[in-house]
Amino acid sequence: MSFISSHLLTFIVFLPLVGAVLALAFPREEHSGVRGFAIAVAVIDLVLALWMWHLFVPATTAMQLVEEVAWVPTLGISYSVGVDGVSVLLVVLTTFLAPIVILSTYSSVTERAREYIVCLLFLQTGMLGAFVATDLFLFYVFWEVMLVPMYFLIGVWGGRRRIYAALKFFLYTMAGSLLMLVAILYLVFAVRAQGGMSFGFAEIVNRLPQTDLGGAEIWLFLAFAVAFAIKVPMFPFHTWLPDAHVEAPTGGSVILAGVLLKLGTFGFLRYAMWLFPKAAASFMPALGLLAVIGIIYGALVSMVQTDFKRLIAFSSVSHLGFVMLGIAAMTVTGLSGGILQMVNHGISTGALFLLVGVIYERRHTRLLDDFGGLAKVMPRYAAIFVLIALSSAGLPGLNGFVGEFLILMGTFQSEGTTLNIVTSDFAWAGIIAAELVALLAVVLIAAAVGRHLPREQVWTKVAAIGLALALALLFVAPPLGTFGGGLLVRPLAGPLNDTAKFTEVFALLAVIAATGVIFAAVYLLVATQRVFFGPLTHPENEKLVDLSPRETLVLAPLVLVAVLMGVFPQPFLETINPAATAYATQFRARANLKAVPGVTPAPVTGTEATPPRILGVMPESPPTAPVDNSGERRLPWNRKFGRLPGPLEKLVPMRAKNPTPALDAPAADKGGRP
Amino acid sequence: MSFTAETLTSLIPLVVLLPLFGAIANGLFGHRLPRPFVSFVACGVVFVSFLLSVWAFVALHGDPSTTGLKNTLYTWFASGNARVEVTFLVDRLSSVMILVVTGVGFLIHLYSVGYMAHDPSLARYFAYLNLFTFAMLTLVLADSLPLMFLGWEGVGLCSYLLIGFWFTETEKAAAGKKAFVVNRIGDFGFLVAMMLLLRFAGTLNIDQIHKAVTAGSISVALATGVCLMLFLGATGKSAQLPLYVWLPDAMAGPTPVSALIHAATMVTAGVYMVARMGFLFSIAPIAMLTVALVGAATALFAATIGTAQNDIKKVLAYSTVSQLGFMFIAAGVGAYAIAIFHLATHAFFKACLFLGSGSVIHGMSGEQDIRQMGGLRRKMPITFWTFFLATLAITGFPLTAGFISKDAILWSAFAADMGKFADVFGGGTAKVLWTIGALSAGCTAFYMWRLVYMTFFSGELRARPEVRDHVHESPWTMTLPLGVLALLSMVGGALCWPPLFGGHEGLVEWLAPVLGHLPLPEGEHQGLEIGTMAAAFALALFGFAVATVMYARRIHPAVATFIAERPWRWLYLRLAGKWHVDELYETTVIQPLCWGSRVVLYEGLDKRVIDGSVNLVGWLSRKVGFLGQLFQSGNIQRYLAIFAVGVAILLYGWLTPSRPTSIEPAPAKPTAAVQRLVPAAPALPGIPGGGR
Repeated sequence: MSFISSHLLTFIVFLPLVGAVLALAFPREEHSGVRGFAIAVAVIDLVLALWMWHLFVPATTAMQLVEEVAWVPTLGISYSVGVDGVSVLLVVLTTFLAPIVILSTYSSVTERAREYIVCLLFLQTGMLGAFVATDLFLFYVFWEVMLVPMYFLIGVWGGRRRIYAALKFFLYTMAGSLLMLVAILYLVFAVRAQGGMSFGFAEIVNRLPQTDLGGAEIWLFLAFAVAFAIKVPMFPFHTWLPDAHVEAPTGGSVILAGVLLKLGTFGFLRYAMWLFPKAAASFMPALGLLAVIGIIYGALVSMVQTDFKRLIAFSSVSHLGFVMLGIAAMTVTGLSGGILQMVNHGISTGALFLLVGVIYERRHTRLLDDFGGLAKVMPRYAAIFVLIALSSAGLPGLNGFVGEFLILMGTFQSEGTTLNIVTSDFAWAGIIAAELVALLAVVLIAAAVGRHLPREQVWTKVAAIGLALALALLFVAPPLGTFGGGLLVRPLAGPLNDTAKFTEVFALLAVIAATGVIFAAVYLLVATQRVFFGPLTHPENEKLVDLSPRETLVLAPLVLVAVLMGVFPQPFLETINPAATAYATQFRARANLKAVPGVTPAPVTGTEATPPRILGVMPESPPTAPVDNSGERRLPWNRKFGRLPGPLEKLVPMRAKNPTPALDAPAADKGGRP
Repeated sequence: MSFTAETLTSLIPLVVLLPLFGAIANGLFGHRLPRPFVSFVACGVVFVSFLLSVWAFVALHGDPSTTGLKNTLYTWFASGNARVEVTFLVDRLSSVMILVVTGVGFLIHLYSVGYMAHDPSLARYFAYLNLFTFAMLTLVLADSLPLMFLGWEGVGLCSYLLIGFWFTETEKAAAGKKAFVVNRIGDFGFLVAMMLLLRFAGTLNIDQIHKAVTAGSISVALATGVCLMLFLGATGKSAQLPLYVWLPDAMAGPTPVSALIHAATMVTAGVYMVARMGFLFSIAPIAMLTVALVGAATALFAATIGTAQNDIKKVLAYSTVSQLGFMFIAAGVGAYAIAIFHLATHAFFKACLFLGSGSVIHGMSGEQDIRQMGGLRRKMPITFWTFFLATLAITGFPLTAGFISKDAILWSAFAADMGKFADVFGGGTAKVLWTIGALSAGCTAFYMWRLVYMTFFSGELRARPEVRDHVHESPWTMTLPLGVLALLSMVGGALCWPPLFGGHEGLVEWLAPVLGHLPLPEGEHQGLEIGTMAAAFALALFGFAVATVMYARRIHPAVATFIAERPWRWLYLRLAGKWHVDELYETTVIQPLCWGSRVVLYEGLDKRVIDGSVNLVGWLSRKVGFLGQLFQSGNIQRYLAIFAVGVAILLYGWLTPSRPTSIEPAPAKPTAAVQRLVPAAPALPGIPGGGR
């Protein structure tokens, strides 16, 4: 037992993989055996994860249940895993959804069920690994490993356009990942000077204050940010998601929405924001803006969908906008809400996809108009659906509310990020660019509209286009332009710590985001109405049977947890709060932002001897320690562009006959991790 | 006493949780239980809640020193500075409210037993109704805004479920959806108010906000912002301009639901909330003015629409909107206790009217059009008499409950420029409020008597024969609540009997520790008060007289010719068309939003612009791939040629003597954008080899 508990994370991560390998030994044609086996594996994994949560000490904000084994010592790569308050619940969520998804395959997957289950288990290892990895290389490996089974899940068991969707999903995510890989490599070589090669996350974070990344920090942040923004997905990188969801089989959709997307938000917080706090700080308002656009845009577009799964996919864009807003605002309250909302979204949206799967299996259609009046023939199904839809809409008393509420409250309090509204010619450049884009968009849209025009009321549309044009040109473009000019271009253009003046960006964003609660009610209730209420218009729906006991069993845990997390969210928050406090306060300290509002002076830590410490950053080390690479070690390109990656440096002494002192790499260079 | 208080305090959560228990029991197992048992459980839990409420009220009454009984169950959630406890507080204000909610609620539960006797989904109905009671009690007893918000949204949910109770009819389900969405617009305001408070006052606990106001640490600007946002929430929940549109549609639900939720309790939640937060409104003049003016405008606006409706429940619905407007006039001028007083009397007489209309509809086999009715007073005597008494109350017949409370509101409005808030309502505003209120009262008298005449008088029954033969008086479970409510409509004024008639305004005194004293002028104004009262009563009499002339014995033929004439026809059509507000919203908000989302955002921006550029990238890379194909022709000679060229280039690079500057490789040619990243590089002193 003690062996298991001392290697708990490893067991949790690799148990599904072992299960996947063993599952291949089952006969190909006979499916119930392998299903039972896989459920057993998943349930054991869940028990282990719950045990892990039990062992987890929230008050200690350092990494816990840490395991570390050297893997490729010469490159400083190690197998090291650990959980903190951010990842622990996500691990539990992943293992919680797995048995449910496997149980749902009994009716939804009839062909190649064994391979399907192998993919699911394999995928689970990838996801869990990415959550617990504390080595950048290991993280990247798990991150990429996830893609493969998901690709097959969509491409093999998907719907009509599955190949297109699978390829789009794969390439889109891959494009982001490659950027991240480049950034990881650059980063590792950049910090090599302090004690040799290391991919260890805590190690790199510890070394970063002593490393002058210079202008490269922005680009590194952006590389990470784009990789994660694609995964989240944030507007405007979201278009792979509806296609992937619509084509994916039910189980794939559940995992995709429930867990995979969380890796994006998780990665944003853990990696992009944490490694590059200053760069992240200068993009915080821009991130917040994209998040809020995602909230409103996702909700509005969701409202007009005719395909049930596409509707839920766009609603995910909206919900994850909330999560990203909480992360971007970086206050204790908002961040706790964001982390909690990751879990909530996994529960609610996972359940919604399962629910859609139920009627899809019966009717083989996902179009809302093919249903109507289902509440009469499937009352139990309708009741569960309404409950989950309400939880997704953030009704107090169900799980969605608490997260959303905390995000809004926290975001509204976020101060200290600067917005240089009209600082320079950048603002004008931004305005002109935004006007051009707006004009182009309206022209494109008007052209698209032209074809539809004769059929419905012409004048409404003409008026609406005129209104849109006026709105875009007069009201939307200039602020967006100044915003973009002041925010997107300026951090690229000027020194990072140019914190000129303060404006209430996040307060405004929070208020706009709050309108999302209205639209959420609209799209969910519209869908509910079209599917469940009214008369039974389609005769083929008259004989639909209500939930079978197995389907009830699939949905019951989700419903229970949705209610439980709505009524008693505090146990979850107690796991999250210390981590959120540490992340928010330390991030703000490192980024030179105003301190987090709403934190009482004596925060959560139990032992005062060790101040809150996460991921290797000691708060007492001056967060903005001036980088002093004393004269000799300063090469022009190091100052300008950050340290050059190693191979290039090695080239230099060979060619320049008098090596500079800086190029005498420390002896520890080859020694691997200290 | 102390023992009782402690026991009682520990029992307070039961007031709230018993209905929840009933809802869960009926919701999960009700369809398997016998119907009488379902009804018994549903009514029983509410009745026990009522008894506990009475006990709490008596205990508070018996011990004037206690400010309230408070019971904290657990911490709902806490993070950063947002901390919400599940705490129920019975103080003088909420004890009155829970009496109304559980008392009237119990009567309506009882009534429902008869009204829903033949409905197959009885258990579901009672589960919703109990759930509603739970949510409403949570709203009332909450000691912090987020917990109040839980009840606030909870009652909205139950309203949604109950309006669309007969969900197989599309319009009814749509009406439920409309109610929920419009309420959510108001909830947005509530949320923003909470954001403001948490950030700038640091707390969401009502008591602590009160302390901050007393300590003077809340600025007028903050209070104004918070109050306006809270009031936006109130306009949604309490159906005020501009968000009242859901309430008339909400009449699609079963009639007892209309009585309980859409007349007596839920829609008054906004009034209760404004009263509860009155200490904050009182320091925000602009917010007070807004509340009073919106209330007055709504009162008149809805009353005018009520004069031309033919659906018995629609008339009552617009009447409710109008009466809620009255309550907001009182709350706006700072007379919160009077608003609560009218809330209570309105709960009595409007519940009675709705239940009476339900009895009529029940007897008429579901017919709701008053043009199909007439002469029902003989066939349904109990219903008629109770309806008649409640009408006396709502139209302000002297000394009825409605008269006393409405007059108190009008007097508060009239005297608003003489009392505590004289500077807020100066310049004639108070008199405008009074005039609008009195005119609305006149309208009220007209449409209510029109309703009574067309339903119970005006000749013979006009219904189809098969309906006519079925008309019958309702069973005792329905008439008993009618009787009780009618009685309360008569004598309810005793709650707050005015000094003018020798009383001492008991309710106002009772509520004074929570809501403060009335902002009325000092000194004797009896003459003025009697004068305004007489004027308002004269207007009501005028409305009554007009209705009598037009509708008393039968619908006067002159009515038809009158509204056929030019200007009146226009007016009548506008009134019957409800001033076309629904159509206005449909064309200016809903359709552009839907169409814009579908065509502009989805078809245009999402599919063409964003996804188009994604696919463009894919397309481009394939084209670039074709370019690469040129080099992969399979032609050995070409391969060799390319190879040779490459070697030559490489050799040139290797063999050229190296110059030191070339060791600064790629960075020597940064792009223009990158160049601007860094300040111009200073000279490079002391770097060996750097400048050679």
